[in-house]
Amino acid sequence: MRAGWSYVGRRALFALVTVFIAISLNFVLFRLAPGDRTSALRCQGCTQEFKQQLRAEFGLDKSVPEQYVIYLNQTLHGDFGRSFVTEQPVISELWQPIKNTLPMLLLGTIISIILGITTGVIAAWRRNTLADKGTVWGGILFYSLPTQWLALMLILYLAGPLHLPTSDIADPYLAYSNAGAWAEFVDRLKHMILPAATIGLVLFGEYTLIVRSSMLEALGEDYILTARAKGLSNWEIITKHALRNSMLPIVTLVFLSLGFIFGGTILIESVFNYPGIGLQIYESVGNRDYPMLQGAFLLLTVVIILMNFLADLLYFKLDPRVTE
Amino acid sequence: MRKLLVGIILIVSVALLAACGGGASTTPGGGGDTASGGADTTAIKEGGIFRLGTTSNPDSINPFVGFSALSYILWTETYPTLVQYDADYKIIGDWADSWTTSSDGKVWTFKVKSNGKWSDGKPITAADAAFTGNLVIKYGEGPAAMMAPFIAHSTNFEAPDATTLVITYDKPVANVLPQLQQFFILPQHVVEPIIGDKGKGLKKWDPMSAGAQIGGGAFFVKTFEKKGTTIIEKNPGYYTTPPHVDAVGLTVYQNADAMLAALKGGQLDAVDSMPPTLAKQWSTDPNYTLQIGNSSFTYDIPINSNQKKTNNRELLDPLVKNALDLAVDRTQIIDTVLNGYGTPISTMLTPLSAPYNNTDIPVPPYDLAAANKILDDAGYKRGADGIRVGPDGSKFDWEVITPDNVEGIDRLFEILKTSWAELGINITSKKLDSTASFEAIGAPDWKYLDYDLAIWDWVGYIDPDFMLSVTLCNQLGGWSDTGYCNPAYDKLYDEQGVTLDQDARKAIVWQMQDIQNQDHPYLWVAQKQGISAYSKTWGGLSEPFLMGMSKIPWDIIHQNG
Repeated sequence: MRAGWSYVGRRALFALVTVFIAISLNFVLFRLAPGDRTSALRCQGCTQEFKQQLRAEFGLDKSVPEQYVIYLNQTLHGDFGRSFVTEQPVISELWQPIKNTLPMLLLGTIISIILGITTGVIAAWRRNTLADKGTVWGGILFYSLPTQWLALMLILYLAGPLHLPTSDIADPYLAYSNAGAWAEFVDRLKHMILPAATIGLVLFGEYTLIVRSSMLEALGEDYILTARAKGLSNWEIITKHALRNSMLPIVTLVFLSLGFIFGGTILIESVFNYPGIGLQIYESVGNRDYPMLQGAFLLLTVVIILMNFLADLLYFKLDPRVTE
Repeated sequence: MRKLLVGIILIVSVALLAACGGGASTTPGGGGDTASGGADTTAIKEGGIFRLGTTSNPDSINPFVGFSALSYILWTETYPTLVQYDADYKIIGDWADSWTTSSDGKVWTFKVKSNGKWSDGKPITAADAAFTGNLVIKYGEGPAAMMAPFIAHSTNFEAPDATTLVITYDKPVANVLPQLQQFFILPQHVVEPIIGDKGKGLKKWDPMSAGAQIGGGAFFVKTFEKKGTTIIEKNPGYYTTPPHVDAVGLTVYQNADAMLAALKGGQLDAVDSMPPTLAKQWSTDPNYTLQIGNSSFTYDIPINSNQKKTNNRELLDPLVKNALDLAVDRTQIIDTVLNGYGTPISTMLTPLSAPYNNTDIPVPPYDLAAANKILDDAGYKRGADGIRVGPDGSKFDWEVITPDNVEGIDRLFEILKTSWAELGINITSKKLDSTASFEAIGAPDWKYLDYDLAIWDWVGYIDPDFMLSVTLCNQLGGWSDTGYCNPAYDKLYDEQGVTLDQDARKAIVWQMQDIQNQDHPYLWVAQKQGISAYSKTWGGLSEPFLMGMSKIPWDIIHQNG
């Protein structure tokens, strides 16, 4: 028990230190890019004096160390500032994109897990056959494809024939047709399919390889031989014995991947104009909207660290030997 | 203004509407023509939602904050303006019925319509205009800076009664009406309570805070989505002929492929622009009409013209600039980059600004022999590696800033590189995003000392004032991307700004373009044609309109019965 709490405590402390380092890096990295919010400003009244005034309003006229101290102080108080572009609070500007991204992300992850487990099981069960090689190479191929290219291919070759939308998260005109909740749900799903499918296709390969490897190990165990001897069907052997014991690395991989997938939505949401956190980050980079970028990357950092932490806890729960 | 960076859309899109009386034309070079031609006689079906796709992003619905192209479209359609452009690019009354000017040109008196209502039912009166004008004057150097240029030199707005607006200027201004075309009148009862201390509330104002915008144009913004679909609904209190449609949806796409896929899939009725490389394949689709028309989009090559430039000072030599101009293969650029949908240009003003565009300045021929001779005679010898060398020993080896958001820029660069290599000049591309590009051009600290050249685009207004202003000395650190500063040019700019007689103003503006043609802060390359497409289930698209530069004629556009 003591070893368990000590493990949890160490992981929690590590997570907090990582968050602090990430917060500091967030601050520094964005300011390394040339230009700031006022650089992109072009209007007939945007004179040097006006820009200076704006820089003062944004706090950009202060020295970098001063800005850092202010930023840390505000962050610790939960104040993430206002967007340089919209002048609205960062939290309210980020909240909707987060709500938009999460369902799409979950759907994509589910697709990748289902595809990955299915292909991994097939590959392990049919080891050294065409099915094995085909599924593994297929997974690696999709994993290596540029995400934005794959997204574009889905738009060009699937969206039209399947009448799937290529932008936004919902049909904005549904409200004019008195559609019910079910129609709205289906519409949301339609808008999510292509971006989620892109996530699913790009990521399933890593699950394929992990599942295949774990399954091969499990299938070589004595209890599998016993199960065969008892006359259990292949389906029962796979689902009730081999796959269950292979799930540990898969579950931890899911948690580890979720954090990174969250950040990886930038490319997908840009192509599909899906108004989530990824697209928000993409636009904020171009606008040098530091408060939005700092807020968004802090969120991503916390999500990744939290997922890692949960993965560590889960691993400990599933296999207490990890603390030794 | 730079596409994507400045507010007003200069995509003069004759896309949805053909020029008056044009014959069918979906091929390059057929400017301003519609595929159907002639008057639209299809039956009108009232109502419906017109779904338009665009690749422009709105940045804010607050006119004190936003400056993107789509934001300006929204304000043009949802806020009253005194005047607008008609199909022939002439100024006509919009909310204003008539106007008079005092003999000294400093006082303008407008008579406005009395029947207008904001979307919340309150009347639109001259008091709203007076309030907006005086608010912008008061805070024009602070929170209201975005709106200030459109009433530059005004000192007071007054509403002696509900239908009379009097604007007083401190000097006679030549382009009052074109500027007022983009002066959006705001509802006093909505804006006055939120002004705040020293106007600080203006930039924090959310016009959608009441659930929908309180608009006073043909429409009001019902839902605003920066990255999705913004829907504008018909304003029942509109002061002139109401639209046939019930609402318009403007959907943002990050790329043209997704947008065109949506058009093909029936999710859109029209798109505001199409890449030239796709136009030909769409021209043969029987379900859609391709519109090709005038646009004020131009490709240009800014050359660092700051006399204090530190490196590669050969770029300051007018002879070198002349030679470079002769070595720009405009024909190949138009054929390759624009797929034929463009025309070569020689000045900063396109024919849309006629009669102010100087047609006496010829488009330079593509003549490498003549260009080489100029450089040889000027004493710029080639080194052992074939690259020319200046008298100070600096090689003709230059860096060209290429912003990543300009369509076709990579191909344009490659064509230029090949041509200029024949002159003994080597150029390398420095690809940056638009913010970093501006920084690099002005580096260090807007002193314009470092950069050599760039490739970029401009989208001008109809009135020439704006494009003429981008090379003023006071635009260093503002609009200037050339570091150019010529007091004689600036003096002429001030003069044309207060010359009320059109012919006299034209003469000054032509002289300004002559100066630019000698000094070459830019090499002007090509004007792109506007290309758009719309579904044949819609009609009334027979008049040209200027997206963001004028109101879309919704009194004509309709679903086909």
